[in-house]
Amino acid sequence: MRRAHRALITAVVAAVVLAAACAPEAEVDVLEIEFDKLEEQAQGTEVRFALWGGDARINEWIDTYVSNELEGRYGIRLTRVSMDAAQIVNRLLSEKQAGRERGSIDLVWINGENFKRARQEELLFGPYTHRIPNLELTDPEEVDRDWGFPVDGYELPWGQAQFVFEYDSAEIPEPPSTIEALDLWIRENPGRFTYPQPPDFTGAAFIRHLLYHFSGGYEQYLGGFDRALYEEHAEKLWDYLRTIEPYLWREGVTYPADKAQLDVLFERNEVAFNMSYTQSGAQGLIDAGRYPETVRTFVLDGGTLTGIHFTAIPFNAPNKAGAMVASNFLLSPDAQYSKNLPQNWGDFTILDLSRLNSEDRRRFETLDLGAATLPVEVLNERSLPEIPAEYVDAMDEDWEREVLRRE
Amino acid sequence: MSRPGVLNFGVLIVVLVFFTLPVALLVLYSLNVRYGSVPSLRAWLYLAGQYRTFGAALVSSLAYGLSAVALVFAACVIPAKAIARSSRSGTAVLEAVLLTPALLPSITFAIGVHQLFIRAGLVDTWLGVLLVLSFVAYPYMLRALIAAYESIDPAYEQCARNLGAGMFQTFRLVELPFLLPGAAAGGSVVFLVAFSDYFLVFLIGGGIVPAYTSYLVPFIRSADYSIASALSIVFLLVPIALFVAQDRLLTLVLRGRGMAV
Amino acid sequence: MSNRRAPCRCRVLAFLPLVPFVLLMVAGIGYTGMQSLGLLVSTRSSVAYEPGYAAILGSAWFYRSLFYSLYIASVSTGLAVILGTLLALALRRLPDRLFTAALVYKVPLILPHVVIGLIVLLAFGGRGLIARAVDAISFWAALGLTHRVFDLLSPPGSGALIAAYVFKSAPFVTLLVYAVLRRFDTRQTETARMLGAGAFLRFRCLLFPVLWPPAATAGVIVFLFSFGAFDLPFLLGGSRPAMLAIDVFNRYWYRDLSARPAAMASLIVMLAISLAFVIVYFLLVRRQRRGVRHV
Repeated sequence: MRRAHRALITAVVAAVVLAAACAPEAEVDVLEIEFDKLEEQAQGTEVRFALWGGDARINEWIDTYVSNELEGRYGIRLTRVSMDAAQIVNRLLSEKQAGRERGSIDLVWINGENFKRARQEELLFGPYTHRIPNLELTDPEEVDRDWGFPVDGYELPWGQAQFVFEYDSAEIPEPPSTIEALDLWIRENPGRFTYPQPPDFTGAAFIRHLLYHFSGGYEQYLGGFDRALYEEHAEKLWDYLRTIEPYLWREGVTYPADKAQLDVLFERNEVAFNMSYTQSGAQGLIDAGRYPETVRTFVLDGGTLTGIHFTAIPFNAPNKAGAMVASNFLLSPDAQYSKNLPQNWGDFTILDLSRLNSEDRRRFETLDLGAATLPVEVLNERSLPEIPAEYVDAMDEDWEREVLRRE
Repeated sequence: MSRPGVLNFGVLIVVLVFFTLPVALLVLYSLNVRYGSVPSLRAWLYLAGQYRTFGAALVSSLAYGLSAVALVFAACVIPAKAIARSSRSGTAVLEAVLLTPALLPSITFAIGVHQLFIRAGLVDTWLGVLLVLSFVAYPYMLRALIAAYESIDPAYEQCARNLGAGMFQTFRLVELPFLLPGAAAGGSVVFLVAFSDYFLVFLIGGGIVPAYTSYLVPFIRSADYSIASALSIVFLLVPIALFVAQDRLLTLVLRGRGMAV
Repeated sequence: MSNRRAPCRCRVLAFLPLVPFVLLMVAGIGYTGMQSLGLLVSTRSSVAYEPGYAAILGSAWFYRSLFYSLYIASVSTGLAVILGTLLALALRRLPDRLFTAALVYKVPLILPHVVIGLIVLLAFGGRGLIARAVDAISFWAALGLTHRVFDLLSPPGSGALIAAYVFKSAPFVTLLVYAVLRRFDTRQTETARMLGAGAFLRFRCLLFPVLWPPAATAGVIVFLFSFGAFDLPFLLGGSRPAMLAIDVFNRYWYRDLSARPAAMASLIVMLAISLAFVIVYFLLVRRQRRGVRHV
């Protein structure tokens, strides 16, 4: 009896100790201690970074440059997990429902409708970005909203991207620079154009340009989601997408499932245009030998979408300190410069150059973006704001119903 | 040469071409040998440079593959004997039910299992992956062991027991040698199922548990065919090496026990 | 086979090691079933979900996916069984020395599905000659036939998908059929020939009864696999119509919770179809065994 008693006490004590050891670190802690203490705490930990894995160059950049620098500077081991933002949100939702307090992802790449959903379902940790030193280097006005949805300190800016079309100038000397011209081109060259099927990020962005175009501009959408307005205009978009379907690649019977598949079609010259939400990605692919030297990019006269992407920390991230240190590094001038190089990734920095020291500023100003990239002034001049996130969800769903499943 | 001789050679050539050409294609692509591009060792050098992630994925896949074989053998050996030695009519139905998981498309129960595993904290864990893979693969081992037990005369066992051997001793010295060839055959299938699976490992492992297939698929999806081909060649060589090793080992063990091989 | 009965106590306990596996299956399917009815989808009791069956059974898209999956599975199984059996028959005639070399036919058995997918992409991808020959659309278009009719039969991706499944499955059929053929006494056909039986009669009366049980067994396994697997359609399949597994996966991963009951309902329908096949298969096996006993 006595022995049983003692065994019971031992078991209870062991369970308490074990539970204490497994319990997530106190969140107050990571938000209150000084950043250099945080860096100490992150030393020797593992950070699992979940991000879209459809671009081999981005993967390689994360696996080499980012991974090595984090290891060297902070002793952080970075593990890249390939997963779309939509998938991540879904997974966090399931975990939240199941009451999984200690998840397995520390940092995610996110923006737009996925961020909005994650915030609404309370899947993110925060507000924490006021504790990140490098946030000072950005313009607060520029990064306080994510596609119209307030950021509120729940995600940290990571980069700025603009939608561009890619084409081979050896084949097409004058690319169509308006939607009317593109439409004409598609009809005159059947089978040579297509877009990735939404909800693919790039494909969904492509059809947003058409929505702006067919409904007379973007301004009306910026005030937030308006279902009546959307229903009024979306029908024109679906009508159009159904009419051009026979002129698309494979007569529109099938669509590339994602951006990676469109890349393949473009590389093999099955289609004449590629599209990318990365301004100078094409130059990187030329440098890597995947694109011919003659590939160039263009934007529409009416402008193309420009968006900011972010990193965020899941509510149940097991290593929040490590995630904060890693995301601070991702926003540092060094990492932003490396990301900006076309050979590595090739989208633009989100840092406000006027807030950098002169040496860093010069690095960015003298960056060689390559012949395939449009001049920064052209890009800035022809840039459109992103739509409020709700529209994206509605369009993804309706595209499937109105275009894909419609006979 | 006689007519059947020519015919035989014809058959052989067709078989060789049809089944070695794909492998040759992988080798050529891994060296970037194709129309309009310069041959290079880029893919192999890349893998050599990424030996840490690549190695971790390979080791992890080997580990859950081999553990699945061990786990499944342990779980199936006693039920297999019971089925083989029973002559009741219900046994056939029971056997059929127990073999069903290998036949059903794994997605039909895997998504439910995923939801349950989230609740149980088994998603993203190595153990969760091992469990779900063992679950889809155990019928192959069960079937192989039932066949093996059916070929053992129960009189052997009785004889050993009469001579004073304990239950474990009987199993180890009398039954196991007979079971080994069957277990090896079943184990090979179990290993292949576990080692080659993409969907279940990705679903239950959540991209967190390193896996060879999860490492390979993004290269295929983003059309980096050189690297994908190089990885695939390793994928082919590893099981072949294991099978050869297994074969040698089995021969040695059985010879050592003085059994005809 | 022995007729000795194991003691009753052992018989029940003997199955204990497999209980976790059975439980896992029952729980997984049970959970899927509950969610297909809109239950257990959300932990918040305030949100109610409709059962998913009405949504899928009322949509033409679902039937198209279903029939497409059945179509791909049937065509690949048919081709795999025919080619695999022919290969087994050819292998049987090979002398030992050549047979060893012919063992390369087992290569696809070792290769994972994702690698088979890659091989098909390498061989048939792009605008190469093989691609055009295999891709049903280009093929029929080359004959000057309108494509729309054939799209229904064979949408893009079908050719690649079928090629991949056949390449993977035919050797499996060969393996099973060859195992049985090896035990088949060729003197039977010799005797029949001497007695004047023609080639067709010899095949129908002697070879066929031996061939069909393993071929049918392999066929059922191959069919169920091609019907519900995820890996190959994920790499090769087209978007319209999608294979069922892909459709479910998209609903599960890329839609919010309101789409979940429909995804789970699709799974239950898939399960029911597969189970029906499994039952037919086991009845077949049973009859086959009984047949053997009579002989």
